[in-house]
Amino acid sequence: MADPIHQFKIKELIPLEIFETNISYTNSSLFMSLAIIFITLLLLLSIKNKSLIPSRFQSISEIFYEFIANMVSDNIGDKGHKFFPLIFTLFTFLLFGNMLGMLPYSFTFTSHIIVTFVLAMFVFLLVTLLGIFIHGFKFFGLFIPKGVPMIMLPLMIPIEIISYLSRPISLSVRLFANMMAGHTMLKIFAGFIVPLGIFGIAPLMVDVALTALEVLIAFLQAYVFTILTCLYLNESINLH
Amino acid sequence: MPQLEITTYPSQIFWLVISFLLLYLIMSRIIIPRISSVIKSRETEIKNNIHISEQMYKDTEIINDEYEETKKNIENEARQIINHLKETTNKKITKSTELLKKRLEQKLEKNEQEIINKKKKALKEINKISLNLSEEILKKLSNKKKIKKNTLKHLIKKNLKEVD
Repeated sequence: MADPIHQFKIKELIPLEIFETNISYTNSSLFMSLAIIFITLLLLLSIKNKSLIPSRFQSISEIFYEFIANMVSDNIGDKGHKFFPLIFTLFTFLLFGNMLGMLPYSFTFTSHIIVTFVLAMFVFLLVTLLGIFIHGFKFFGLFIPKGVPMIMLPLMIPIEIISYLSRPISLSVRLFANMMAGHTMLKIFAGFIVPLGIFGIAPLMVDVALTALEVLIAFLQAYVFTILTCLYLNESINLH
Repeated sequence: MPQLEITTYPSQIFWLVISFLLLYLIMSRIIIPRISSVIKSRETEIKNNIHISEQMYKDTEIINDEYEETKKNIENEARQIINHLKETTNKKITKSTELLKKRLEQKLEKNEQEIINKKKKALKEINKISLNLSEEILKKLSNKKKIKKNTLKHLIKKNLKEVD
């Protein structure tokens, strides 16, 4: 039976080294590039005609745009307009990374903790620095929950600080674990299909069902990552 | 687990940063402006159309008002004409009826006068005839040759007056 973890292996495609660090172009990098090319082509071609009444194809970009625009305006408000391109990029990058990973023999770059952690860390630092930049010292009022009696504060403030600091971890682990678990499970069931002969139809059916579930999860986790980013941005822009 | 191989981290981080920056640039510089321009142009188009339709609605209201006003004016004019006609015809009718009455009265008067005249004439004639007749009768009755004509006349007249 094939190793279900094997699919996450990083393979060097073009070896590169700068300052004695290995920055080779790998299969992970390849799928990042493919995601960029795919997103760009899809959106660029679909908006090409710029027709007043959108065709089905043109609706793809418009639905993407309006989906993110609504997310930003609902969660951050008018001040969130500046962050629209960032949220849009984040959502499309994660969505296409997850979705491309659903293709057989492909690689899911979001199934690596380092990728999701860098993204989550970027969001965390952006949100924190932005909050301090906008509100100065008042930003730390975020750690004092509202409507809590004074006597509870010595307990509540450390909890709030810990929960704030663990945001990048929870954000990155949620996405990485979902993607990894789903793909591992798919591979495990796929490994049973051929050895079981005619009875292999059972794990095949399970795989078909799991694929549908994984497509849903691929969308959902991209959505969760972006909407949490929006919520964090809202907190540091508007406090509460 | 390949996820924990730290040696692959620099390469993954490096290409992630490059890919994400590149995608951010493509999105913010090329794709988002295009999509938003399409959506905005549609919104302005819709706004313009709504504006135009509102303008048209106002115009039709103005035209409708004008129409109502002219309708009222025409109705008033028609009423005036009708009233005027009624008055003039009534006047004419009363005038002509009065004229007719006058004429009739005149004629009546004339006729009455004539009747009176004729009556008088007839009475005179009756007087004459009765005078002559009574003369004859008296002649035959009295056998007298002559009664004084004047006395006779006087007598008859007296009798006639009693008759009257």
